[in-house]
Amino acid sequence: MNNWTKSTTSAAACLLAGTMLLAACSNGDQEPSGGASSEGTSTSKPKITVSIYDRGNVPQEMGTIDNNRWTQWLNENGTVEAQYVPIPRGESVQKLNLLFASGDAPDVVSEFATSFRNQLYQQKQILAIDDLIEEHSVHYKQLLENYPELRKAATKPDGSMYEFGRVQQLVGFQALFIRKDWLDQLNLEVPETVDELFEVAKAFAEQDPDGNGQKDTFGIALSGETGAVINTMFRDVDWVLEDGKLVRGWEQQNKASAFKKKIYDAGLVDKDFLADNNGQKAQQDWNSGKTGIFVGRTIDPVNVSQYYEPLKHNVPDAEVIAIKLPSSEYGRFAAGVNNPVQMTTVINRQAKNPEAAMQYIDFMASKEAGEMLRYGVDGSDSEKAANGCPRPKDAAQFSKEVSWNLDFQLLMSQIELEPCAGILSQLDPEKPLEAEFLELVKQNNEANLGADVEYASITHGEHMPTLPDDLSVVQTNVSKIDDIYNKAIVGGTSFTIEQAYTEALELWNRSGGEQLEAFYVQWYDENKDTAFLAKDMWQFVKED
Amino acid sequence: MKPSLGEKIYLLAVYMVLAGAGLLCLLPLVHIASVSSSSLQAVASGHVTFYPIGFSLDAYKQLLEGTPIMRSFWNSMQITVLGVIFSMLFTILAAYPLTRSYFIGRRTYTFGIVFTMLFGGGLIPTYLTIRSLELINTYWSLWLPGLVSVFNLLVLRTFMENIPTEVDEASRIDGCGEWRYLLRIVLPLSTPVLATLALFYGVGYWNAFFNVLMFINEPAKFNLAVLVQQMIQSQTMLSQMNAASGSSEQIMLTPEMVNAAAIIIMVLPMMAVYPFLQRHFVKGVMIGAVKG
Repeated sequence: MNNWTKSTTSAAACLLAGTMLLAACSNGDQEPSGGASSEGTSTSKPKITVSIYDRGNVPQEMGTIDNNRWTQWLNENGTVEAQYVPIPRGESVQKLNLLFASGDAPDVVSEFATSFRNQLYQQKQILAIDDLIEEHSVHYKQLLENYPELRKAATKPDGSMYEFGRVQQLVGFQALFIRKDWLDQLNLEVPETVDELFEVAKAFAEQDPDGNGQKDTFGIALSGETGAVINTMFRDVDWVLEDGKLVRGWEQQNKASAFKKKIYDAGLVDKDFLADNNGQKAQQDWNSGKTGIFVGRTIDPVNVSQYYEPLKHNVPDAEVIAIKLPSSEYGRFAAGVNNPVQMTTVINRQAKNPEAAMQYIDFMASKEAGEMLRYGVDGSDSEKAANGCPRPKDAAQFSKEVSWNLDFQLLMSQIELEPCAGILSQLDPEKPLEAEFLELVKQNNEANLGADVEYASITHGEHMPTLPDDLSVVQTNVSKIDDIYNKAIVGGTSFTIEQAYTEALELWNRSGGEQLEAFYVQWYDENKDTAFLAKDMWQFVKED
Repeated sequence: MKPSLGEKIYLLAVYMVLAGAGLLCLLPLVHIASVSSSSLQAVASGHVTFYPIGFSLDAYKQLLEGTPIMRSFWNSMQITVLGVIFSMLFTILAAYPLTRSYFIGRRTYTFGIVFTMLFGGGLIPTYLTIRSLELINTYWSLWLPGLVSVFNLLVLRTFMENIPTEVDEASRIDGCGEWRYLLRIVLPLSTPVLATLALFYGVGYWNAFFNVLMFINEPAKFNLAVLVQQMIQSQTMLSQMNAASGSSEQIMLTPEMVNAAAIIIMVLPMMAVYPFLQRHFVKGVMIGAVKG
């Protein structure tokens, strides 16, 4: 019996070892597919590692985000060989934190989140780049000379530059859409003030503008971006200037919430707007022709199929215009605009070859690389359209081959590619829908970029200072104030705005809100001359 | 025997509650399936609820052509099948000795194993360990750290302990050794619980997300869970961005229907496996009932 046990034991052990070996092999098979990018094009070029967002949108036959047509082109035409480290977009900060903590972070790191880049700066994980740019850069140096604001945005409190970025024209990002056909139907004028906005929304909700005999329309949306833009109309943007000091705008928040409460109580909006926390329902209502006033976007050709095509499909007679935000007692403001100087990229302090990293960044910022990544090969991927700008030769082919490479363009200054890079040149005026949307884009830019409107906040959110850790906790705690005001909006007579204000103030004081305020007051006081503020943004409006 | 009125009302109530619970689980899935097979217009206008409107399979076509879903699917299969084999093997091999009364140090071993349930190493130490073992970018980083789930191990051990000692004695008298006893007697008697545990492990590996995200760096090795999450997250982040940043992320949006199609492809295999294992679940429940 002993012998028998032994033989069975060894048989089982063999089986076990076999399975493991087998598994190891099946795993080993895959190694070349990922590693090929580095070995495939082995040259004498210096090697660096570079982070790249992975969004799971590279068509399988095009390879992977770290080894594809574009990485090959960049490595062949650039002066360094980049090995790409994919960073899943959804968890990018977490993954990068992990890589930095374990010493595995790439040499060149791109990340949209300002707070993360500031954290790297505070932890001294990234390099000051002034000397690198001075000595090893051509294109980026030129860019800095052309757009001094880029230097302003890249400079950290110690006076050195730490970040690379890209420059774009200032354009309208959000648009306040209104149904022109409904206005005409009910003989109404475009609302110029918030009171008129209320009256128009009331008429839209009550006078059956779609003529189906039912009272099933909403005057205006209240969730998603529309709700945020209503706040903007009252300059309810958290931090506002008062007598040269940056303080919390309580009064503005009270007024904005009171306005929302008024339209809610009058029954002009979707009663369940609070359940629509990402604004998807509001967008669906707009698309199905049930909402009269709504905030969409006019920044990218894809907006046509998001906000316009479905509406025209459901309501072929619909007519839309983009209007200025109505004015309130606090002034007249611009809806959301893009960030014309967006910082994206830093160099890891641990980088073995910072000069090579600089050369890589310089190449990525060049017009040559920018045009190639944006349009692909002239003649096969795109061709010159009537306006002289390259346009995809075949839309389906282009989206399969080119358009997913957007995350390689984080250092591409779109402004250098104008007038061809913006949405105005990308829409095809030959197609009726796109031609109509083109009009909306123009109307929106006119409405939001003019001299008669003001940017409600002191600067774009990405240029606001990053809070130290202890204050971030305070910030998280006081963010519940919005919930208190929401409660008041839907609370009818039982919970008024005044009550909400009292409760909010109490929460604010209890959570240490005055420390937050002290931080912003001090930050603004010390940095108002050097920080990148709204007036700098308006430098990037296209001059006609 | 005819059921009395009270029983009828009781049964009716039970059926209604159970049907309600069933619908709560089923309807979201039906909605996703409908969205994945509807036209873009209908989805964008919010017309789709529980049946497709403007039926089209474009989303699936787009999914197969525009994303690496097939590769991820294959990766998920590999992770799951091999992972279940390894985990089951080691769970069985650990559970069986712990049921033997003559196994010296049984209590010490059990304590040692249960002790690991109380705390974890934390992300960065775990990452450093896995890196120093050179497991980064291999599926071993998914299989090895969680090879044996202590909970599953305890379930299996308890089940095996309930096999009557008479069976053991009888087989010993007939000349049965340790291995044969395990393979021919214990395991066949444990099929219900083995099926359950295999399913637990299987679901765990199939849905493996965080570990893949952190320990695997090559997109070619990503599994379905990561791919689908990336697609959906890109969209959610977009809607959260309320004018916070520029245009850059806009174009990357995957249409909602494509995301829905990806979700369907992800849940389908699990739904296909379930009915086959359910037989064993039912059996497991019945064995318990007869024994009282």
